[in-house]
Order: sequence, then structure tokens, then C-alpha cells
Amino acid sequence: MAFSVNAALLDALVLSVVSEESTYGYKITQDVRSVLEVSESTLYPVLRRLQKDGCLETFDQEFAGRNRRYYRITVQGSQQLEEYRAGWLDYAARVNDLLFRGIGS
Amino acid sequence: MTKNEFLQRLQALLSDLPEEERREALEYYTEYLQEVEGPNAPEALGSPETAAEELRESRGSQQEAKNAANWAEGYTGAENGEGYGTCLEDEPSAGKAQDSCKQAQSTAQGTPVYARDAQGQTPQRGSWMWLVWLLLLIFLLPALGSVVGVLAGVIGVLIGVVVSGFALVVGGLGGLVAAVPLAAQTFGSGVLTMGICLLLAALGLVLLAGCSWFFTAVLPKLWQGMGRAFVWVKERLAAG
Repeated sequence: MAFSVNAALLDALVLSVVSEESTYGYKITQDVRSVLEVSESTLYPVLRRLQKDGCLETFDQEFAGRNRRYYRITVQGSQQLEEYRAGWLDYAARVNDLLFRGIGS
Repeated sequence: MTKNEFLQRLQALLSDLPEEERREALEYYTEYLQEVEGPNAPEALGSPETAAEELRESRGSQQEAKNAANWAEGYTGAENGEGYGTCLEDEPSAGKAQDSCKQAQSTAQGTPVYARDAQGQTPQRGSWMWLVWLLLLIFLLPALGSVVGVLAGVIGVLIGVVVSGFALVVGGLGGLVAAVPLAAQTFGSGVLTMGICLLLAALGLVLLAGCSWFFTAVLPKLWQGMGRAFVWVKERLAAG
């Protein structure tokens, strides 16, 4: 069952994944795809935008003889994530309210 | 599709992007595909076309979001936003009143969504229509010249007929009067002349009547028909 995915939700999930630990594009994509049905190519524009907006920054680290670009959350990104989390709680509460109304015990 | 094919296709698809953006995207996908085992790009990555399309879309909406942010001064939420169309991310945490959130949505966040619709759909069609009209004009310009020529000819003929009608009527009546003394002298030829003059005057009247019928009955219908044909063509073009 897939509900529509909007850009805010994608941003929120990416920020949350990166806030746990700095990580790279492939890993972020797999994590997000474990809960949202999006194409793997959907994540690049999201990462790029979050980086441009100053929510994420990148650093390079060697792995198995090649380069891996890691994403790290910024202070601004953390604030944004907190806003998303609060927003989601409120949103989910209201959706649940309406969705389960009338199924009381 | 192999990894290399994917990257080459993507590079070609992004060829019109600024050098730096293209390079960054290719770096990302090169690195991404290195994480994937085997020689092929994974199904879940989709086609290079989709990847390029998604990148383009995000570039477009980012620009619009920026414009909106500049416009809605002092509204900080907009600089991160893409026009989500909900109050989701700002309303509760910032403790904003419902009204101010709605206001922010209609300015900073509502605008990109609208702008995207407007820029994505309507003007494209508008410019397309513009092209069609231009082509029509180019092709119809010679035809238009001949139409003007034909119209001028028709107008000339009409004027000629009207003037002839008047001339015949006046000349016929004049001849009738002039033939009266002739009839007094030589009755037979006088009456003959008078008859001819009356016939000519009658012919003039017929011509004038024909013209007035043309101007009052035929011309308005012709005009309406042309108007309808124009509207029809315009609707066909708009529908197509």
C-alpha cells in the first residue's frame, strides 16, 4: 500500500537518516526506500537540494580504494529536522483522528 | 543496461546543464553504481531519462522556490521549501497561528506550486499557438494578397454596376424626354426611341435593384459566414 510521497516527507526522512550518522548516497537511498516507494534516482535531487539549502554538507572519505562522498547534517539541517518531526506528529495525529474516527471501543 | 551505458546516456541527457551540475550528478551516479554489485545498473535506479528528468524538475522548482522566498520577505520557511502545499513543516513547531500559516502558504509556498503549473503548462501551449499563428500568417500571406485582389475586383465590379445602373436610368429618362420632340416630327422613330430609352432605364433599375439586394441580403451573410469560419478555425487550433 503506497500513499503519495511529497517532497517535505522525503526531505524529513533523508535528514533523519543522515542525523543518525554521516553516511553516503547509496545507503541513504536504501534506507529511505525501505519505507517509501520511490525510485533510486529520486534521492539525488533531494540530497542536492538539501545541500544547497545548507541543511547537509559533504565530505569525502576513502573506502576500499575509492572515494565515498558522505553527507553530514548541519545545525540548520538539525533545526529543520526538528520542525519536520513536530510537523509530522501533528499531521499524523490529525490524520489518525479522522481515519479512525468511529472505530472507538 | 550496464553501468557504463547508464552513465553515458545520463551524460548525454544532461549535456545542456551547466558543466558543474553535470559533473556533480555524474560523480554521484558513478559512485552510486560502484556500491552496486555486478556490471549492470539496478532496476530500481530506473532509466537515465527518469534520473535526468527528476534532476531537471528539482532545478526548476528550486529556482521558483527561491523567487518565492525573495518575494515573501521575512518568511524563513520558504528558503527550504519547494512548494509543498501543506502547513506540515512550519505550523505546529513554530507555534504559528493557523492564519499566519495559511498566509505563508499562500505566499511563499503557494506560489511555487502555482508558478510551476503556470510555467510548465500554459506558456508552453501559448508559445506553441504563437508559432502556429506565425506559420499560418507566412503561408497565408500570399493567399491574403490574392484575397485582397479578388475583393478589390469585386468592389470595382459592384461600383461599376451601380454607376452603370444610375447612368442607364438617367440616360434612359433623358433620352425619353429628348425623344418627345422627335416623336412630334416623325412619330414612328420617336416612339421607337422612347421605347428603347424606357428599356435602358428599366435595365438600369434592374441593375440597381440587384445591387441593393446584394448589399442588404448577400453581403451580411457572407460576412457572418467568414466570421464563423474564422471562429471554427480558431477553435480547431485551440483544441488541437
